[in-house]
Amino acid sequence: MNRRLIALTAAVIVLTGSAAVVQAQESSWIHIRVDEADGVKVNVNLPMSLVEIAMEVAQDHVFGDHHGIDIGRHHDLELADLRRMWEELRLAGDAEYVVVDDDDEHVRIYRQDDTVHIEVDDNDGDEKVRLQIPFSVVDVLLEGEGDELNLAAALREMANANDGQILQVQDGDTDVNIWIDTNPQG
Amino acid sequence: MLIKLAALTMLPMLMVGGVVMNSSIMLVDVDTDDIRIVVPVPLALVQVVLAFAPDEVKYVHVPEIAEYLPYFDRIVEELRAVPDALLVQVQDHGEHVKIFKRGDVLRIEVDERGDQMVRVSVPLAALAAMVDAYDPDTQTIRTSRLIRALKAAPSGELVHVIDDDEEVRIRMW
Repeated sequence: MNRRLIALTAAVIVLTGSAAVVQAQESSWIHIRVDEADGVKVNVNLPMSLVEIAMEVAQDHVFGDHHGIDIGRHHDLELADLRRMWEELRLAGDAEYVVVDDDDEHVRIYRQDDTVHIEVDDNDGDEKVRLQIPFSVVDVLLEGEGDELNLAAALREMANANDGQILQVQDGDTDVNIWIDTNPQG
Repeated sequence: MLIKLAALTMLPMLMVGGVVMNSSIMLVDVDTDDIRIVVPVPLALVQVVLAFAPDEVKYVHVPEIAEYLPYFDRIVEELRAVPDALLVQVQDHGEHVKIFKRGDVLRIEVDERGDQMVRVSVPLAALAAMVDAYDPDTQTIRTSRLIRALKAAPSGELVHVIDDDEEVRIRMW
């Protein structure tokens, strides 16, 4: 009897857990807010499932017969090199990758808690960029074949991995915010 | 004999009347400075008339849709699954655009500076029926199925446009 009860409890927990995971994946929303000083405001709230379909359309009809975005044909950058660099970064753990200080701006790229942070601040204090990319998103982005970036898979991973701020830009006249969460209205 | 003749004469009218009574009615209301026209269009009657229409009317060739059809179907499904939400809102000085989902209806509202306004309600069931109306082999839309799609629309306003001195409303009954 006890065995049955334990098995039943385990089954309920597994089923509930699976349902919760599915629910979490289904209910992720990406939010985009743009506020311009001249009064223009843009507010976009889209379920990630719709964004994924949009990406598939873009890949099939905009980027050609590829599963990802081909960067090899248009740039000198070899994706294989990028993959190798990424592997090195993965091994490095939390670290500061790039710091640039010049007369105009301060740029900092660093890894913290499996997230890559890119921060750009101009010295006047007018412009500010904050970009946060989970490591796992770049992992799947680089999983594409040959010279292709797997953008659709990266978006899926972003929905799973990132429940928070992705991009924040304050550029004097314009504020841009992009984030993912489970609230349809952000 | 006269009674038989009268019955025979009345029969088509009764049949048409029956069709109209049991049909969804689309009410087209056009109001301009000079004139107001209100046309009730029984959709079942439109379907009957369509049967006698030329093929160009019955089958509308739209090859552009074919490649997007599989996505279209999935988009409708996803939209059905998500809760009510404001999807897009753009405020650009005097212009205001809103796209939101309420129940099983996708609503588009556009307000422009001055007296211009557009309100469109797109029932998701009608969208799904539109997908069914498309034949990917011939790349045509069967208009009779489009009418069926319209019949799936819930009662209420589908389109409301105000453009300066003109106002157009399309409602389902």
